[in-house]
Amino acid sequence: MTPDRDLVEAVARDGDEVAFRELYRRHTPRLYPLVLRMVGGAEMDAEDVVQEAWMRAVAGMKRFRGDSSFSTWLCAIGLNAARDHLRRRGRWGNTEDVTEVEIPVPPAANGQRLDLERVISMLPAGCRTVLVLHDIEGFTHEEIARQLGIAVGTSKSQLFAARRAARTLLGGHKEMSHARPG
Amino acid sequence: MHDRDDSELTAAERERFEALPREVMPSRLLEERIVSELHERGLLGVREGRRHVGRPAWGPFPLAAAAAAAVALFASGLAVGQWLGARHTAETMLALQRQDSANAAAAIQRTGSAYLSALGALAQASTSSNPAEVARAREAAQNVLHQAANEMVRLAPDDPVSAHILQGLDKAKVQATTASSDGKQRLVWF
Repeated sequence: MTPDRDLVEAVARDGDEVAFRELYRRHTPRLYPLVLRMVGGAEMDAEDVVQEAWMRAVAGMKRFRGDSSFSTWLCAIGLNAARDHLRRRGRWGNTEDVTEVEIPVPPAANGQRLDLERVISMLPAGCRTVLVLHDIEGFTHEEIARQLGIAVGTSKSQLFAARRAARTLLGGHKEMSHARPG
Repeated sequence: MHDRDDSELTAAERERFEALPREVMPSRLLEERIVSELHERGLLGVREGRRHVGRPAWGPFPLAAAAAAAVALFASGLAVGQWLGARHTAETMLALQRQDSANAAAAIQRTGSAYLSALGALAQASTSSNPAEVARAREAAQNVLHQAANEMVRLAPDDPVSAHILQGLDKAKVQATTASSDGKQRLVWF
């Protein structure tokens, strides 16, 4: 199997389509669900973000030095693209403000247990992103803070709020839940 | 590696998170859309199937090769065009020559028939007892013979027989005109 680094070089130097397709098929399966969860489960939005992420990645491949794996580098680009997407839609709030997180419970969910994916998609964008990166992708708070440009404490607070809201939703509460960091 | 905090996930919660899919491939259409967009932005070069990793598609002198190919193509087109034109012209000339030959053969045949008719008329006139009829037959035969000789001279100006016939007939015509007292001349046309 051709190493990622050789494929990246072929794309950056020659614009090689075969090499690009190989990279795409190797790394998109990990990028796509990350982006899909960040944008709240909207598949069309997720595809737009994945496309934008690859545009940025190919345009910047000459700057890829190989300090981290290509997958990590690509996911970081995808994360920024998803955040920009949410900002343009007005859905990326003040990530520092986690004093009160409101979770609207949809009528169809009243009295029922919700699927975890559905619960994650219902969380506000900021704390949802931290939850996805920490509990699903395995990032540390330091890595999340560096990636999102926030303080480590903020990342922890967001995670706390996200977990509490998720537990509320998974428990089938009927009223609007208010998660407050303790 | 996860940090530990106060809201640690329970074992059941952790299991639920771990059960979530980490890898999902989007639709194949997305790949094609992205590849197409990359081509449009000029970020990808040659289309798939025309080139492989690390192998150049052109030689060291792509422009020179392209120019040489263009010149060779132009020269080939010119040569073929000239050959086709020359071939067409030759065929046309040959057809005209064939047409002229056919016309000449038909004219010769007509002239020969006129000679025979003239000879027949002269033979009949020589056996008739009526002098007037002999004179008309002789005049008609001479006219036909004159026209036949004219046609032969037109077709073959260097033919001595035709020229002599024409000269003899012209001389006889002048003599006959001079000898005629009433100046009347009867002509029979075919």
